[in-house]
Amino acid sequence: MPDIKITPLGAGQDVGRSCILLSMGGKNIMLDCGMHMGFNDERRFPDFSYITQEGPLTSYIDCVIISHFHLDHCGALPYMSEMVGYSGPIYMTHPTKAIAPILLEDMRKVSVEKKGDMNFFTSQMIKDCMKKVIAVTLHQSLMVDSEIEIKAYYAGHVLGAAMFWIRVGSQSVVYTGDYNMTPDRHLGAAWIDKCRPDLLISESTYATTIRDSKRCRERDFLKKVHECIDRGGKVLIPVFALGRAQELCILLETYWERMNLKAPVYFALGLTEKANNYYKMFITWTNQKIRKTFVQRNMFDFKHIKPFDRQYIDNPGPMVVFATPGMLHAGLSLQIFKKWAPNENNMVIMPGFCVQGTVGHKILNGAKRVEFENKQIVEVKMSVEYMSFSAHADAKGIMQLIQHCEPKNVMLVHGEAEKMEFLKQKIQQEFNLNCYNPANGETCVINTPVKIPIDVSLPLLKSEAKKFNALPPDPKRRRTLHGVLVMRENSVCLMDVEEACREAGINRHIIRFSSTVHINDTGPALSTAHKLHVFIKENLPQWPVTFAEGEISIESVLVKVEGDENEQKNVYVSWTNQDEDLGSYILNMLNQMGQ
Amino acid sequence: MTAVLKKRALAEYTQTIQETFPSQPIKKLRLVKKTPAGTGNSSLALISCLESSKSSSEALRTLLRVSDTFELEPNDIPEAVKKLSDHFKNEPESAVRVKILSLLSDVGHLLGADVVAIIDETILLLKNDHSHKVIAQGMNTVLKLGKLVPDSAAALHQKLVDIAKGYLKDVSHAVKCKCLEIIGVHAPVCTGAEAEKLMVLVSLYFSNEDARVRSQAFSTIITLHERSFKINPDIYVDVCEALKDDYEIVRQVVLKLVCLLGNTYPENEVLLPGSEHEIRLIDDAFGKVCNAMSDLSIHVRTLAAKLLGTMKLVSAKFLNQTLDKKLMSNMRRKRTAHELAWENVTSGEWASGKKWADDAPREVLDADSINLMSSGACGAFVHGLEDEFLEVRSAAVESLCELSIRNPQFANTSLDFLVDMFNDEIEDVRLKAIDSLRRISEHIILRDDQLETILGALEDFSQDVREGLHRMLASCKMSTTAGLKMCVEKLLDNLKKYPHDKRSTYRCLQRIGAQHPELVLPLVPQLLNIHPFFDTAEPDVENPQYICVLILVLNAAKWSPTIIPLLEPHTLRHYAYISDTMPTLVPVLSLPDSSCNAISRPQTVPESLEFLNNVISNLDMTENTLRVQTTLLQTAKEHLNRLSEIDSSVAGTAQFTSLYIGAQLIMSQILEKGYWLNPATLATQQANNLQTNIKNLLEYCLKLQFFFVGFSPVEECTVKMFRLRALALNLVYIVKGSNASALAPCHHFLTVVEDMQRDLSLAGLEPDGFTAAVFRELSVLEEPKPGTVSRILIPILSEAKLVRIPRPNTQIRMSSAEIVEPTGQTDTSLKFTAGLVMAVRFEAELRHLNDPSRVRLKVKYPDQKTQVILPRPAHLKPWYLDGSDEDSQTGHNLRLLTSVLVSHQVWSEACNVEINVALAIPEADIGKRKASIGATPTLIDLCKPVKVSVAPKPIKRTL
Repeated sequence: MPDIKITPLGAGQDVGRSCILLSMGGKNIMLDCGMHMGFNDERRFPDFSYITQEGPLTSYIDCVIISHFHLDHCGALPYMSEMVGYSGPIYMTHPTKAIAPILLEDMRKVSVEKKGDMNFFTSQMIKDCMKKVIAVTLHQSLMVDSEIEIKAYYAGHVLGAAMFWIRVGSQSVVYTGDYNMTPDRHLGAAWIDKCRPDLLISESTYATTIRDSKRCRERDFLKKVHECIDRGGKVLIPVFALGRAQELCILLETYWERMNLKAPVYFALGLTEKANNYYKMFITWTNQKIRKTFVQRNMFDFKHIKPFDRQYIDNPGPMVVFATPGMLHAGLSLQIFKKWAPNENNMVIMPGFCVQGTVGHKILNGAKRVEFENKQIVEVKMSVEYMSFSAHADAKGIMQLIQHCEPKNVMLVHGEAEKMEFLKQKIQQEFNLNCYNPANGETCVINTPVKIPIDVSLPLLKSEAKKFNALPPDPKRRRTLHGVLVMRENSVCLMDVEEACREAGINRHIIRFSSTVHINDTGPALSTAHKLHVFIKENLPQWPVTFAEGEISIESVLVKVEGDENEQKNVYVSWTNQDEDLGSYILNMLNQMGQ
Repeated sequence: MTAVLKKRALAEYTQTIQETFPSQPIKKLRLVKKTPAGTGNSSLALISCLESSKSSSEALRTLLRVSDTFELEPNDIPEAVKKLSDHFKNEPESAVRVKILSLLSDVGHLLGADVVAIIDETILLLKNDHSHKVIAQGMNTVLKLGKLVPDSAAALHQKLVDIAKGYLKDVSHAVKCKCLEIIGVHAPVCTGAEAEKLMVLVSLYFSNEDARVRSQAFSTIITLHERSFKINPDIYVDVCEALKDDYEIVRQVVLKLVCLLGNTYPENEVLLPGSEHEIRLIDDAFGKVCNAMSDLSIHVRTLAAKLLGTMKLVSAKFLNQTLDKKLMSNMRRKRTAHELAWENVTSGEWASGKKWADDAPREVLDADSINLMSSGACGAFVHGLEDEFLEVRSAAVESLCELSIRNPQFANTSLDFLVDMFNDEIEDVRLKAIDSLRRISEHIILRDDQLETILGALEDFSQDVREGLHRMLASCKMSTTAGLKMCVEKLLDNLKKYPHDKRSTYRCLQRIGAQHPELVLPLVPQLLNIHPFFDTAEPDVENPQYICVLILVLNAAKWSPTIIPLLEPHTLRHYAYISDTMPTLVPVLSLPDSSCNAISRPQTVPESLEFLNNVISNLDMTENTLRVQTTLLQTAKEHLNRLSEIDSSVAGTAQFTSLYIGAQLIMSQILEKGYWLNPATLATQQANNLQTNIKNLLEYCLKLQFFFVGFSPVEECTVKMFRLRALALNLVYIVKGSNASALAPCHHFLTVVEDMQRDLSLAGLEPDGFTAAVFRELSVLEEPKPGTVSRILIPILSEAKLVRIPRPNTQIRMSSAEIVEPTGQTDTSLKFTAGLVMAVRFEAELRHLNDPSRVRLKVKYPDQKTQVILPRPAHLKPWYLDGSDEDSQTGHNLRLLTSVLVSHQVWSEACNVEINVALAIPEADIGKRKASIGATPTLIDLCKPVKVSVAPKPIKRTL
């Protein structure tokens, strides 16, 4: 029985450093190669020694697929390809390829220059790594080698995020990466066709959440910001440089324009400007509205949002600041947080998920005092709001995706264990599917049915279709095909008998079975034959029974009556091998007729 | 004539209309139209070429040429059919045969073709053909031609159906589809076992291997239903199975069928799978359609969203579920923002029909109680309203509105969602949401917090959104004084920001005041700044904010008598002013002291029509001398003009009559003086006078023709006959008085006469004396040369009497335009850099237009240069007068909202540019003096021009 083996190196019952090893049909594929934001030691990268203790990975892995540019999905890529060693193909979408190096470079700077990390990849390594990347477009079917085929589907989430469908032989897997089933202000919803894979590997960040309509969330968000501005407070919105930030920018920008607000909105510069350029370019990846209106005005040309300068932190008066990083674990957002936290007029809005161990996680859990590395203690008096703007599918969305693509098995990754457990039960209960949620390093084996593709010759199919359609329609009737299974070197082929004989160069021998039944019936043989004809016709209403020259034929079964008048008649019944069932049935019938 | 009438009467009740025009002796008037030589038979000739074509590709080319220029005389049809079918039999290439069959279908559509024969021919041709493509096309031809045969020929239709059944055995999907379609369209209407058999036959194809056949099978059922076949509700279960089909074409059709079954058999009971509970069919179908709201394909989702609106019989509990989406966060029950705002919303478990509210909301959810993929209607609209595609969203908004109109409770629930949609990123969807809210407003009482969110949208930059909101607010009910105050304040604030909204805000506040007198009452002192013992400054009565407040208070005062005593004397004075300047906006109040003598003036009285009738019949009765009659007409004209100002209901017809009288006056003036007979001898002064008079006359004719809507044929012919007379006069004048060629005017005149004849016979009316004489004289004329024609016309013209004035027809409305902006009252002149363009905001209200495409903007500069601008169709918006629907209005009421671009070179000082709205009449008679067809069209002004002071400044060349 063929199987699919999955081993999460990261993201198994966990969020962060997504890295999943997939092996099927003798091919090994790595899905995502991310890093963990909560750690600063070797735990931040997936444990590649699982694959091999020594030397490069190239010979063990056939290809790497990156779903999107978030660092927990691509952060370890240069480490793996340049430091551990991998020279095979890496696949990602065009926007991901464009934006990922910016983020990697930014993270490298933070780690190496701010924190003084050693043993980290260099700029050159990022460049070298990116040279190995092959970019794919949506719905483009791509052969990695002669056996692996991959195809990208739109996933929403962030610009360029994709779900990947991977096929080796008859087995197929869909890996979703992160996705979003509800559209937002700048991206559309994830979409996949009914591809019916053997396994769907889905993220499950919000396995136990059903979210309110996004409009309420948006209105809530805008209302909170507006209220804070009105009372003269400052609003800090920690964001990842790319993704949610752009959505919130568009939201605030349009709101500012509609409400004619004057308070400044700042966006901490850095990589954002560069990234915004990519957003402007990859318009085809955005939602309907932006795609349709960009000719008049590109929505990413912000009018009200200005670049931020560090000096503005102490400026009086209300302002809104977007700052990176999103989980308040380092960088500018943390710096601003430290300054603004003690004032109760101010507000911090956490627009997304926070990994355990970050400041964001702490304050969301209600911590009133936050202690930092250098024994610095900050009182948190500002209001802390959590707006679930995170672009992950909620429980309903995950179920919807499962419904859309109709997989045979489901695996949950990228989520917390106990939340997964709930969703797992639900999936088993409502779809009646096997569901798995392996932990990191745990291998999961999924059996798939054996499928053997067989070529069928066209004339054979056509003649069957003709025969079937000629009969009155009946959806329940079975459709049978008579042919010979011919096995050659590597191919299996179903052929018409005659054709197969011709090809094999053998004369066709037909085996006929024949038997004689004795009947006592006076009168000429022909009249007996007539009687038999009527009898058989009555008993086999579904079959074409023909009568010609004293012989009754049903398909290949022949019934013949011999003998003189006033004598016992011999009824010969003969049939070919294919019609064994029918022939023996008729014989049986004739035999029992006499009794 | 009676014969003609009878014939017409009969013709209207039979299917085929073959009008052979009354063969009156009009041959001589017929203008020589060059019949394009030989095209009539070219198709036949080409078809004949088929015989000689050597290869199939050559034949195909020929056939393509035939279909490009398809023209056949009825007599040639049988021959063409024969030739085509002959070639069909010998043609080896299937593509050519397909083309021949499609041509046969085209031939069958020609007038005078024997459809049945062609169908038979087609069927015969198909008999020996084996190509699927050819058979499919053949079936298509049969299908199309069969539609031309009336339903009464049941035998033929039955035959077609039988043939289709035969071909159903074909392997190809294309043939099967066409056959199923034929069955759907042509099966003769029957009932009982026969119909049942047909349904069963079609339903066997529900699970065909080809998606296209499946889809066609379902749509055949729908077609049959539309042709009043009875569908057996038992197929419902099978049909629902097909909702899971892989192909969207199937899902789409199935969805329609499910909805159809639901609406046809709403009360049938269906068993829920996995339980013994039975629910109504409509409820189940509704659940199924709701499920389709999360379909993969946008087309299916759009369709589902649309269909939901049609399922009005669904029970309330399922309806309410569509807006229910139970939230949770980390396994904790969460309340939606809506629920938080509205505590009394009953929250319940999702009911899929299995259980309803049998477990109450709890704080920590039990994992087993959560049903993530709950079937049924749950949250369908929540999904639909946040769909990625605006098509789905806007369909969802529409359906939500449709369902809310019928169900007050649902309306209240949906209110929050509609308000949320004000925040949509697409303006059309926002507008739709606002409009929907207006439509369901009768069920709704707005709470303050809801009002607050709604008012938030008022600041929208788009004028359409703001005006939509004004209309909506006008029709809503508010619950508290605080809310009303907030609303009024917001409206006033907004007026400061967007001064253009003045009129719309006035109307809004008028309705608000009239609807909430008891809420306005406590606000009066505050709004009007009335201090208990100090006199406050008298506000400026031209200030729009103040007018707004006045309108609100005065409209409330009509229903709440306690308000009037509160008002200060100056307010009452202002009331007098406003009721005079804006009579439509303030009601008539009975004020305590007669400080101002307001005359209560009803809008319309029956007496005015009576008066109108009187005026006109008086004119008819008098058989006086010309002079007396002229004076009478003059007086009548003045009466009518005044009347049109007084009473709006008869204004149209009064204006029409007065214009008609005016035209008659000019005509009689010209005729009386007699100059027109020999204009060549006149002095320059008189000649000029005559020329202007004739020009005026023609312009009057144009106005009569194009400025009115709601004409009955009588008025139309009267106007046209008058025009004919004017044209005759014009022709005589040209022939006699100028040396310009009269050929073109003569030709034009003859065309008009010809048209006149046709119009009269169509309307079944008698020509008046003049027209009859013209017809009579012209028909005996040998050759219509200008000279001879005018010689004939002179005696007829001078003898003809004035015509009776048509009876008043209250349906008639006169087109008019009112320029709202620019007002022309500002003193400041608009400055701009010379040579560049400046946009001037322009708003006008156009009423009772005949044809909106004629509207033009005319900009006239002081140097007498005139620019004619064609407004963009998007800037002309239909405009409904208060309380009138689309159907009840005559003509087109439009609102023109655009900006006029003005540009000029440097002027030394500011000058006025005149802008007005005009109708363009390209086919006008005035421009026809010379046969210059490409000349600029004639423009008739719809209103007085408005003056805009403009000052182009020289470019400053500074460094």
